[in-house]
Amino acid sequence: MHIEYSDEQIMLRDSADRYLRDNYGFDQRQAVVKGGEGFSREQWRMFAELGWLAMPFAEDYGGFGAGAIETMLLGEMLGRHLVLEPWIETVLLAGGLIEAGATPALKAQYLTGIAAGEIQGAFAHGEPGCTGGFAQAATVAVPGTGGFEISGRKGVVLNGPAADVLLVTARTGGEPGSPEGLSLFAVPAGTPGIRRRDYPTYDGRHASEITFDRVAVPAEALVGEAGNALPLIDAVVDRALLALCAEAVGAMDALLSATVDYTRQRKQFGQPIARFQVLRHRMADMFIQGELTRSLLMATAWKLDQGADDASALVTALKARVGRAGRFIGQNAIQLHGGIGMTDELSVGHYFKRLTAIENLFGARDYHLARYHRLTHTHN
Amino acid sequence: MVAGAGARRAFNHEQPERYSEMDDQHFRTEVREFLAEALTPELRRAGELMTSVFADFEATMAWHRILHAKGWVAPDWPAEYGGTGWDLTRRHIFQEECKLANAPALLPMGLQMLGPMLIGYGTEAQKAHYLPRILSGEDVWCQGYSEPGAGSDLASLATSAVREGDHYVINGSKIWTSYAHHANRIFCLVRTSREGKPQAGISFILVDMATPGIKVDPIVGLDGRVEQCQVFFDDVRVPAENLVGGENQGWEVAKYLLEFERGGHNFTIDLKKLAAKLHKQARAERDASGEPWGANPLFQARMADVEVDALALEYTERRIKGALDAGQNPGALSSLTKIVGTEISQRFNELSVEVMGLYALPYQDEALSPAYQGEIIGPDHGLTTMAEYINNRASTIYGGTGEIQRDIIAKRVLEL
Repeated sequence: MHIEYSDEQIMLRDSADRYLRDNYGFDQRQAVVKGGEGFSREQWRMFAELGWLAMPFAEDYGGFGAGAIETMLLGEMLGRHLVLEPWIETVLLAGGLIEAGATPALKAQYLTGIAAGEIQGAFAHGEPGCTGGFAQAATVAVPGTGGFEISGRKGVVLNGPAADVLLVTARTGGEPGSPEGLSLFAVPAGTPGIRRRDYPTYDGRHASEITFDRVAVPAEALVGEAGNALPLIDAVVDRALLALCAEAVGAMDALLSATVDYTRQRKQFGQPIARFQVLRHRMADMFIQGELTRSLLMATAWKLDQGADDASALVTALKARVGRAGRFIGQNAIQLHGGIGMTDELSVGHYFKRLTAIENLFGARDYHLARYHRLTHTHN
Repeated sequence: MVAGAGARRAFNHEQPERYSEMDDQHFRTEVREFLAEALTPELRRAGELMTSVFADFEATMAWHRILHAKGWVAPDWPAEYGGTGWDLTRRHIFQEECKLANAPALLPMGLQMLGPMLIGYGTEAQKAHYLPRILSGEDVWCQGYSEPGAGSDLASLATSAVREGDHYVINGSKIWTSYAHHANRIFCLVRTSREGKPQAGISFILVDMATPGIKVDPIVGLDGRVEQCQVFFDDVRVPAENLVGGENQGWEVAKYLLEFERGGHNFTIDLKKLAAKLHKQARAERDASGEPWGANPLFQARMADVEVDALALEYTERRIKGALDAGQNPGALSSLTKIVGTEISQRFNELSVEVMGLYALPYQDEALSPAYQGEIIGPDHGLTTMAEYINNRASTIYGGTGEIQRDIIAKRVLEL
């Protein structure tokens, strides 16, 4: 398989790499982690200027209609440089869900703002009872004056603290566990009845526990078809998963380079530890895991852009693979760095924590292995 | 070999007649009753909230003092020095019951490292002075072994101690010194000679942390907390009588600990606790189908895989104990327990992170303090999961990396 990247695609990747290398150093990043909001509004403005926030949207909304390949290329650079800013949460998830199913008025209201860097978003799907499986949602949306009233609790809403708009799964019918009856709403964060508890996450980001107490939204807040939000959500999350996996591949790549460099200079027993065969083979295995995953990443992006039937199966295979490779590479990067790999001061541990977090987003390895089986073995 | 001041005391635990099983049951009951009374809810909480080998410092020292008052703070020491006179079985029972009751872990540096080394190599004056202070908790020790340039290759350490009159002057730096920021004393391996093999030029010395010239830099770990430190020595003058063992006998003193420790550390109980917690999480947390993780066949298979390996380790530890009880050297078996125990615990951690799902992600440091009364984000049984997973990556690094341990098996056991 050989992907011939267009000039624009190469430029996107290279310029992102260059910009982040020159303006997003690790020490700067750490200062932002420790700061109030956990991401830099200044950087977000730059991302807007660079076109990253507009990228996937249709031109009608100020976007470039970029596809999965561009998402992959940018995603990898964000991962390589440990970027904190909520590109996936705001642009791909909130923006993606709105673009896929909101009313024209809502799209006009939000997408231009997101593309311009003025609006933040978050996808509130997980709940304290069950954080995996969108159909498990128990939050309800009952008919209310002029629209709906949403009540329930959402847990670990990534970018919840900064979000101006929340994309919320709530049932207009059916029982928790049933895909039928699951709906999606675009809810402005300041709507009365919403209570939030904000907190940091282990990978340097921020999330919220959000309670909805008869939160009134107009009928137009419905995104997609009432009671049938799952297909829309699955399609958008597939793209977000691609980006997350691209981030992971970027992080794994950075870890392999860092580990190779470190073992070359670290001397024990009178020689660089890179001379010890066990460690050489370990790094060779890290290389193998990284490249296998990268191959699957490229194929997945390609298939998504082609609208291939098996694109979802590939996304799920990719997420499962990233789970295994990310764990192996992250853990061994720390192991081969020895004691300093366990310090806050070095970037190694932070890549490890980000990979660990990615593993738990939208299903860990076992979830995707089971899903892969379901998607590829339809005739039993 | 240089004969030192205080020739090495041969180590053998008193082996009273083996108690009957019934007597052991009574002992277990006695321990449980003591723990039920002496472990306050806050101390138990401190034990429950452990995310590394250390518990909250204040809770640890409070527990230390309680055990000292009972006479049970150093069960492994010979009775004449303040130990309990228990045989290996009882020492295991005691360890097990403390862990099951979530007692906070005691600091090992004084009780399990320096204490035995002084018993083996210390002068009468050193033993008389330092041992009681370790037992009472008045002295909090940290260990100055590793250096930035000497980790796996500890023998290459370079912190120097130069004799000047009746002092040694120490210059250099130690790193990964756990709790140096809480300690009032440090025991160090220092270089007193550059002649011959590196091991042959190392001495063991005791230093007061208040001595001028010592600086402690805390090191923030990946969990955002400080446990490790770097300690700098700038012309630190230490009385020569603080040497333990003879000059250049330090490596031998440090190695003695391996002999003393044999059969002491039990991974089995730690692994059983991890498994029990994981089963609890798996009953409560739901997978994407809405069913408890415990009912998920993939989880069941992965869990069984780890539990079977833990069972094999448990029986290996029993073989080791059996050999020791029979007065024999467990030899090769002891070399594998650290490798296997740490790797199994890491596999349990991974499963825990998976089961907790999104609720493994919230970082809530305040809630990890035993005194915290506020609301916890997510379920209580998930509170320590991510921190445990992160911190336990270090267990295959400290105390000899998994790679070095395998090298030792290859060399010493397989004679390759």
